[in-house]
Amino acid sequence: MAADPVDVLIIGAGASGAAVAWSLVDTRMKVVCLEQGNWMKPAEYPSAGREWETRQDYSISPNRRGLPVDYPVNDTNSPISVANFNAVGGATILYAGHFPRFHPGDFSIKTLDGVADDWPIDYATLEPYYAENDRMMGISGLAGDPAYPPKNPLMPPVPLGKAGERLAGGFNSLGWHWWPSDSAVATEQYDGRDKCINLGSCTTGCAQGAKASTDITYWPHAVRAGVEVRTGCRVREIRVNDKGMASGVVYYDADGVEQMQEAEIVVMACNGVGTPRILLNSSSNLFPDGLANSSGMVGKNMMFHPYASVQGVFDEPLDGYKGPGNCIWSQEFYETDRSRGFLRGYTMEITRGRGPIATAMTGIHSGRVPWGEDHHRAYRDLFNRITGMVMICEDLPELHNTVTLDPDLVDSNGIPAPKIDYQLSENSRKMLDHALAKGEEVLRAAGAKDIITEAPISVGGWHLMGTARMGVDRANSVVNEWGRCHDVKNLFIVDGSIFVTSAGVNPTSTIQALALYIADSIKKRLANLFD
Amino acid sequence: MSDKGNLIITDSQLSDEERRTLEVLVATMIPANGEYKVPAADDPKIFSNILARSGELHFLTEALQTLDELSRDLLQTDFSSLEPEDRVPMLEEFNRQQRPALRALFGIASQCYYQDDRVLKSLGMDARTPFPDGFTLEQGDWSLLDPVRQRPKMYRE
Repeated sequence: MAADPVDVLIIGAGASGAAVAWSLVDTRMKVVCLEQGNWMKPAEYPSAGREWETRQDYSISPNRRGLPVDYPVNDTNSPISVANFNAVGGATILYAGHFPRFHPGDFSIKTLDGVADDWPIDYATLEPYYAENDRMMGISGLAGDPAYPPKNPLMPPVPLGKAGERLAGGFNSLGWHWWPSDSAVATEQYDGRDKCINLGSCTTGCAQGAKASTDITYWPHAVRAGVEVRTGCRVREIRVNDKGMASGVVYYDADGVEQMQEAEIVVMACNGVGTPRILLNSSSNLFPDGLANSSGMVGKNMMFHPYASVQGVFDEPLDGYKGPGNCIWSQEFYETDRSRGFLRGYTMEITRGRGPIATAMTGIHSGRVPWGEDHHRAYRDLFNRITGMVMICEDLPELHNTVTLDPDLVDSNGIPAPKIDYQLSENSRKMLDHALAKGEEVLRAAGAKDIITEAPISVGGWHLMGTARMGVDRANSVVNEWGRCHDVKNLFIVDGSIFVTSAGVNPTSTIQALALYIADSIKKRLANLFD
Repeated sequence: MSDKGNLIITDSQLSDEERRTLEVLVATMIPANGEYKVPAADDPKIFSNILARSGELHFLTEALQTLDELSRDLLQTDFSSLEPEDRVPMLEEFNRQQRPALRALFGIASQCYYQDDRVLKSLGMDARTPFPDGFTLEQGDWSLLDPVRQRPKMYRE
């Protein structure tokens, strides 16, 4: 059954889909968004219940959650497994809310460091969209960070707390950079959201509404302005007409009934795994290797951010289970220094503390909390006494890191599932080793008596990038410099798939700034959009 | 061979015999402690939660049977009938053979244990949901940032 055609059809209601929908609504076009998940109910988030540390339905792993709205991912051939969330708000429901921008140099690492590729756009192009996105999401932080060009956070930074104070002292003793994190956690009432009350469970949804997930930032504005969000709708494929233009999508509605939705413009906002999956599932006579894939780059150059974790055990009580995971960060080792033996660098992000169950699991998995009579003493040596950091390492694009279609695995609608083939590069391994050593150094300087490490964090595939890269050369990129597919002139991609490189920072701020920039590019070209 | 004809009311499908082994096993892992005023993991309320989640451990029945077989081989009695001082050494021996299984069970037991009101209170926590009251976090000393403010620009154009 075919519904009335719409002007703009957006696939995915997460970070980028929300931003592009909100921006396009002032064109007065009919905008519809299809989302396979549902609207969230913050009153049901884990922090509103006693099982706030153990709810498997809020796991970052789609395979572990296995909810009807989820699709399986075969990531057995990767040392890092995929994390995502399917809902209105997408992964912003579960993200920590770290909100760094790329640096100017991150857009030109081929020029600066002779590696990977330069982006076809630069920081100056995105800067106004970063600022607009900060305003829509409501970002806290502190102006004056020497690691960044000037920017003006809208709210004061999240508190240092005992953990931040401890580690700031460690950074200062070594003369290393640190700064309050730019954070999507509201520290004051903002745009209908209440301020943070330190629930300590940002990564399972914010019951307070202080963390900026797009279901409570962009979407209320977009829906009030007329955008229609259809939930429980899973897209199977994008159809094309005989002129090679996207004609609409085939999807399964909340009742599992196949539907066709025609559209003048199709916008993909499905993340770095979901987008190549749909493109590869949309092969046709005109596009036998998958839609928009004449370059062969769809699904190639998959980038995660390999993460290292270094946690210190201290003698005195710290913040434990209280407060947002966002705290302070350091970019002391962000820029390339060839003497380190690797190119590019990483951000150190302080993770504050952990709850009673997370403490137990850390103790068990690291062998520090035994069973038997010594269990309680060993546990109490850790409880409220752990703080540390994760290091988010820049991943470089490599053709052999891919998203393809699994030949056997399908989702509940029978749609072929994605398969991840990913290897850590030698550059990444050296960077992770360096990060572990420097993390231990600063934690020791801050007074840690014991160190617990992990690298890479095996469950930490939070950031999915590069699988439909942006570029001016259609021979080695999927979308042009303003997000339009080279091969299909009414098909746009606005999610992390279009990243040329990953930088060493969390991507959400840049994903959304790109979505706003692409939406603006569409609006400026409406008269000749398909030329 | 376990008695499957007398199942307890749980998703775990454990027999009475297996349940008893599990009780002793988790109490050996996390025993009661008078100093901290905390119960053992076989406390009825905590154990019922462990049982409720034991269905997540697909290997549990086989592991419990293997533990009993090992105990009978080495000390001629089921694990649950061992003298208390023999239980931890037996567990260590079992751990050499079934490390992933035992670690997974220890994880589940700990998750249930550290949700218990009495345990949380002994740790100085309020036994409540985080929302809606939240917690207090001190600002900390922002003057620590002064030396960083003096640093020159670090980024490349």
